[in-house]
Amino acid sequence: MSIFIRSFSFVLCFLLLSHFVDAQAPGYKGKKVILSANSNISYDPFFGRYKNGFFFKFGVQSEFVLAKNFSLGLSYIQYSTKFPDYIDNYYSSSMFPGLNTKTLTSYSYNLDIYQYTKGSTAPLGTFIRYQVFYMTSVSEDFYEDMGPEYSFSPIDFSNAGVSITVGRKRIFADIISLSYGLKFGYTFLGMPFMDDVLDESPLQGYGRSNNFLSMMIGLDVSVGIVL
Amino acid sequence: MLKNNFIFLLTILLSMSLMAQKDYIPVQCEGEIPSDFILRTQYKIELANQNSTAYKSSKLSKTANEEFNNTTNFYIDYLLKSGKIIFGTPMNDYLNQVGALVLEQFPEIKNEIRFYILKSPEVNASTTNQGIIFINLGLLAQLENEAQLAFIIAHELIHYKYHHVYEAYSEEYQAKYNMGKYQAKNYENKFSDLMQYSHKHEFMADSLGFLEAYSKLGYNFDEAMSVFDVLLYSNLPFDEIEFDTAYFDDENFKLNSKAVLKTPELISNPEDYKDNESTHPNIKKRRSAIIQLVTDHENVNKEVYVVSRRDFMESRKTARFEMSNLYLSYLQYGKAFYNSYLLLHTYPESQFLYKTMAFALYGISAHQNHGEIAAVLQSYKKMQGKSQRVFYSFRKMDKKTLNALAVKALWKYNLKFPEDQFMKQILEKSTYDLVSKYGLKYENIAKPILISANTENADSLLAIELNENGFRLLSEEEYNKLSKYDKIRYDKKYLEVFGDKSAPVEVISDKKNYLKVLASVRNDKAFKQFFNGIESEVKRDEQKTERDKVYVTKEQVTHFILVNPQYYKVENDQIIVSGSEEKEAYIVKDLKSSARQLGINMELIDILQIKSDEVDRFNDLAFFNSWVSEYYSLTDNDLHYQIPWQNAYMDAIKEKYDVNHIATMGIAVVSMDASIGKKFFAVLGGVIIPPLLPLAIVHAVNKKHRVLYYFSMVDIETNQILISSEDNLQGNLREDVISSLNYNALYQLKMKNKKR
Repeated sequence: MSIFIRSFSFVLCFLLLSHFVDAQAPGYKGKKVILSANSNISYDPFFGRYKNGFFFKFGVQSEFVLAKNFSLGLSYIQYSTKFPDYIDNYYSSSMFPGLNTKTLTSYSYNLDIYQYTKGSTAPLGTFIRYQVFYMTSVSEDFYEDMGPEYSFSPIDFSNAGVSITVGRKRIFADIISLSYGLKFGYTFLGMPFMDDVLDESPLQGYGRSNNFLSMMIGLDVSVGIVL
Repeated sequence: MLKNNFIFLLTILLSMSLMAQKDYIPVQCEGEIPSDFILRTQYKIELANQNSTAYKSSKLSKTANEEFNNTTNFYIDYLLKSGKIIFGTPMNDYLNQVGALVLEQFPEIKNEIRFYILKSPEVNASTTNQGIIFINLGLLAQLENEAQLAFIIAHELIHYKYHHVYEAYSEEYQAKYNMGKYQAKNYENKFSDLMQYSHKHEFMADSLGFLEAYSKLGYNFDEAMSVFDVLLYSNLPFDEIEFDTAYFDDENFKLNSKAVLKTPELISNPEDYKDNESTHPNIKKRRSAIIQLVTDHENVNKEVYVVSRRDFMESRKTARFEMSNLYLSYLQYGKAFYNSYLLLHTYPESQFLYKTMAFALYGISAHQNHGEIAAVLQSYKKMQGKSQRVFYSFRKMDKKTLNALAVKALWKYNLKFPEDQFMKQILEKSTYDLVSKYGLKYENIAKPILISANTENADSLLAIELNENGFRLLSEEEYNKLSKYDKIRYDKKYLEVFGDKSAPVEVISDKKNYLKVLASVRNDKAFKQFFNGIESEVKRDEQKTERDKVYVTKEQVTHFILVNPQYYKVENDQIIVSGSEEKEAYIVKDLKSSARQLGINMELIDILQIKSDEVDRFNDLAFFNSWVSEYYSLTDNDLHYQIPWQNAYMDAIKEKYDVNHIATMGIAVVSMDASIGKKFFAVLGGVIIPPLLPLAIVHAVNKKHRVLYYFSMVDIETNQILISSEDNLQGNLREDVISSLNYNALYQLKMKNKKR
């Protein structure tokens, strides 16, 4: 709930800012705010053994035009994956029969900076979006399904990262916006198979790797309304 | 008594009519607008694709023929709709009469031909595959008589009758795609073959024009040969009259001798020039071919005028006056000055001629002040004949003298025609430049010296005599009455007999000579008051900050005229007409909607909206197009240092539309197929990252689009650009892009209104 209130406050602040900003910001026919639903399909070309290599993410995003070629945005996106059959000799389905039924969910809170190319006018046309994000990841409780002898606490960790999206935005009937682009990301503390976080469990390491791979390259699509 | 009264009444009416003609007004179209101007280009293309008879025996494919129809109709319509074509005037009526006379010899094409006049100073005529014959104003101004006009029309009609335009296209097409005889030929050989092919058409048009039409019309055959003189000397003005630099002098001022050309270069246009890179054979070859025909045929009637001598003379006079207007609109101020100077000998009371000369001086001076004189004045080194002296003097005069001379000419014009507010504004601007740039103060202007008024009669006759060479020396008056071509012949002969006739030039090279230019008007109280007023204005402006100096519209912009919006679609270097007119209409509708959203009223003047009975609106469109073209030619990085000539006619338009702002806009969409390399890498990327494969395929197959957009608005009160919006973006021109571009352009206006 507190996250919802914080997000709402941010959105309100940006709304007011974009309304009062006295720059050469025509927006789209005077409209300077876009609220949209966002999805991202990413693919792990190198380690595609996990869940066929695809990650599906869903979220919401808002964008506020502040200048002719520039806008700021806030967004939220999440995705879930199941653990695989095998992580290491210990964390495998032979040791944990229910391992591959458990879900790892990541929540990402993003600050978006949109730079539209010369000639385009925000929020329409070709853009580069620079994103700074903070991710929290939580797994399901393993304890529920397994005996106390196998019990361990659910993993809960955080990542930060940056991404760049190169995309294009279109507007239909002066109200519906469609945005699509290629997103390239990098999550800190999440390089796969790096032993820089030795003290964490293999499950957590797996989670970080998962986040890294899911952010690496993806197709970003969002549909929204222009206000 | 009754007879006396009648004569008195006639005299009054005649003098009133002469007074009415005193100030020439540039030509405007009259009557119903012909369908050529109004029909949609797309419709014309479809019609041409259905009805093309010329192509039945063609070697070209259907697609190539359609490309021909597409391209030719687009460019001809571009010209027709630009406002550069004149119809419905007495000049056109006369042209149509001569045209109809010639067309009697071509009954099979009689109903397909339309004649129009093209506002171009070039000495040329042209034919289109659609049956339109364009006769340039420059040609009308130079012709000697009706017979020459008839020969040219006959020549052009042969081009039409034998489908020369299409055949030339067909030949070029084959050369371009290495078809037929062009296989395995290099570029030079192809070009040479194409020129030879074009020469064949020209010879054919000359000879068949003579045989099939001209020889049967009762005209003098000699004129079919003399028309080649018109073409040979087409680089010269319509007449050759000595320009006396004393024009600038008065009792207090004489032009520095370094600005006076002693001997203008003799005209030496050779007939037998190299023509292998020209579409037309050289004059010698063409004339020889005609001489052959003329000698083989008997010239029964030797008429020079069959339709009307009076109408020819009137049409030519109009064309010659219009040339001054055209030259000024096209920023060819040296040519405008000399053209009006020539006309002034025949029409010494014409206000228009004084006005155009004074304005030309102002234009040259304004450009010289900004180091841009080459833009408005041809190099005298490239010129021959008597006009060379004009160009030489303007080039060699120092800036201050030139500016002072402009002020003097403008002052005198304003004394003579005080009701001309436009020229008053020009006088103020020119004087402002003189004071602000060169710091000229009233007290520094040289005091006049009083000399006796015993001036030599400039028109004094030279002795007429016949010398032993059989050469009769003409009086100045007689000489001036000769045609341009006879003058050229006379001058050559004169040089043979007498050698150089130029008088030695008195050497004057005072660096402060410019201070004497205005000496003759210095003691005029009105001038003193005027000059002091400008000095005060300059002082006031010098005290202003840079911000204050920026000219801005004082009022809110609530209303503007959008003139002739343009939309072009180009795919792989081929212009696409299909759907373009509809798209243009949509763009304009959207712009109007954006304007309404921002509380601004937009009025559209566009050829697509004009009906056949709206000739006034058509003339307005023509004027605006011409004005816009002149205005932007005078604009350098948004800096506008000269008032456009056509502002002289702007007041009436401003009043008619009650508007102070004119906008222009254009969109071009350029599409190209992606290169093989780009396609390969797109597909490769898709193979490496399979989820992106569909995108990669779309990317590889789709054309690459680029949208070029401009919108510009000028405040015609201050002559300043209010908005200049240019965008260049990748992607196709979708509705959202149109809306965004249009809104952005007008949004700037809203922001400016807000600041005001």
